[in-house]
Amino acid sequence: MRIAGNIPEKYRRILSYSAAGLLILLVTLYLALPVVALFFRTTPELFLSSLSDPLVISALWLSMTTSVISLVIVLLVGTPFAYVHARTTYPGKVVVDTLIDLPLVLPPAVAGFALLVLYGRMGLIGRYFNMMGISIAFTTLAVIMAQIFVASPFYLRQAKSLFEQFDQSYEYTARTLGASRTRTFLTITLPLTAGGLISGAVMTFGRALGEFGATIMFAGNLPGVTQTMPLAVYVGMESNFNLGLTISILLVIISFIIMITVRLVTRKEVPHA
Amino acid sequence: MLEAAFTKKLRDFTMDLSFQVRDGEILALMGNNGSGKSTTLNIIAGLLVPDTGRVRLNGTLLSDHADGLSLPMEDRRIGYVFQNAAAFPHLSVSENIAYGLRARGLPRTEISERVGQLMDMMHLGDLADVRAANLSGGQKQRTALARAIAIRPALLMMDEPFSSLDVESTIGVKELTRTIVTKMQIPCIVVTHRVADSQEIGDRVIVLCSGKKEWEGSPREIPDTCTVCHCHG
Repeated sequence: MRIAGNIPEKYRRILSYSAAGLLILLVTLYLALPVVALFFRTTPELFLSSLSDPLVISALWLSMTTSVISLVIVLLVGTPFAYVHARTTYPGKVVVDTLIDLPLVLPPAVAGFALLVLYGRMGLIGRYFNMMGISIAFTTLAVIMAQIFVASPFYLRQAKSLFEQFDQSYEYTARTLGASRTRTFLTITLPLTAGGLISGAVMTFGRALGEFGATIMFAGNLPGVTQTMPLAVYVGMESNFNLGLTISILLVIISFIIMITVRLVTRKEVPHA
Repeated sequence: MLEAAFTKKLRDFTMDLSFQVRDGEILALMGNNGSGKSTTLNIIAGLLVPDTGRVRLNGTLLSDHADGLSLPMEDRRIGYVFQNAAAFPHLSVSENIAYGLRARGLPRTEISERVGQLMDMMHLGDLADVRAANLSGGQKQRTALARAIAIRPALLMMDEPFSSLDVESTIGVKELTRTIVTKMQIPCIVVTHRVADSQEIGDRVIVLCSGKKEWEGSPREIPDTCTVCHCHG
C-alpha cells in the first residue's frame, strides 16, 4: 500500500492496465495456442488431400449421422420430459434432478462401462436381448446410446430451467382463451423458449459429436460401424498422423461453428414481457 | 350473473368467500397483497380448485365440490386479463386478438372481421402488425382486453389492470372497460388495491382481508380504515 501510494497516478494507471492486459493475453493464449498449433502442423494441400481418405469420410459420416439421431431423440423425448418435470411435483424429483446432472461430472469411461454392464452380451438386460439374437454393445446403436447418455444433460438442464422460469400467465391466458394444453405449448411456450432450447440442442449436438470415452468402452472402435471422429483421431495419432490432424482440424472448425451459432441464437432471443 | 361461494385452504389462512356479480355490473375487489384477491380470480377461472363450494355462471356450474365437477379452463368462457397483461410478445397485436378465435376454430373471415372491429374499438388501429413485445404498457393492456373479449366471454376478470399504467392510459382502460361491460351486459370483476381505482370503476366494492369479506358496499362509502386489518394500506 505504501509503495503504491508513492507511485504517481499516471504510472499507477499504466501498471493496472498492463496487468489487466497481461491477464487477458495469458488466458487467451493458453486456450488458443493448442488449437492454432493444429493448423500450423499441416498445409492446405495435405489437409484437402486427406479429407478424401475413406477413413476420414466414414468417420465424418458416422459421427454426423449418429449425432443427428442422438439429438433428434433427445429433442423428441427430452422436451416433453423437461416440461412435465418442470411443471409437476412428484416424489423423488430431487433424485431425478441429480440423475440429469450426473453424466456431466461422471467420467465418460465410467458411463461407457456402466452401459456395458447393463446392455453388454452378459449384461443385466443385454443377456435377454442376446437370447433373442439382438446385440447392442459394439454396434452403431451403442454409439448413439452412449452419446445420448453423455450429451442429453446439456439439453435437459437448459429446457428444464427455461420451463421453470417461464411466465405461466402466458400459458394460463392461452388456456382461458380456449387453447388446449398441447396448442398452448406449441403456440406459446415453445416459440417463447425457442432461443434457449436451440442453444441447449446445439450444445448437446456438440457434446455428442465429441464423445470419446463412453463410446470406446461401450461401442468399441470398428471403422465404419462405431469409429466416430474422436476415435479416428485416436487411431490416427498411432498410425497415420496426418489423418488424425485432418480430423482434429475438422472437429475444431465444427466446434467453433457450434459455439458461434449458440451465441447468435441466444442474442436474438425474443424478450419476455 | 356470477355466483361464487367457496373455501380454499392457503398457506397462511383459509379463504371463505361468498358473493355475486350481476350482468353489466363491475365489482371492484380490494385488499392488501396476499389477501386472496388473485386467488379468487384463479378459482373462478379454474386455475385453482376450491376445497368446498361452487361457482356458477349464468346458471351453469363451473365447479361444484359436491359433484366433483370442475370444468377445464378452456371451457369456461371467461375473459381473464392477468396482472402483466400477458400480451404474447412474439405475436402481433392482431394475432394476439385472434388467438382465442383461432383456438376455437372460427372461420377466417369472421376472425378478421371481429379482430378489425376490436382494433377500432380499442384504438389499436395502426398497430395491427406490431409485435406485442414492442408495445407500451397501455397498448399491451388494451390488446389483452381486446383479446379477452374477442371470445365473447360470459364474464370478464382483470387483475390489477392499472398497476403499471400512467394516468392517461389508466383513464382510457377504465372507460373502455365500462363501455364493454355495459355493451356486452356481462358481470365483471376488477382486482385493485387502490381506493381511487375502486371508486372510479366499481359499481360495488368488496374488501378482502385474509381470505374473508371485510367490507362490502358502495364505492363512495369505503371506510378510511378497516377494523380488522389495514385492508387498503
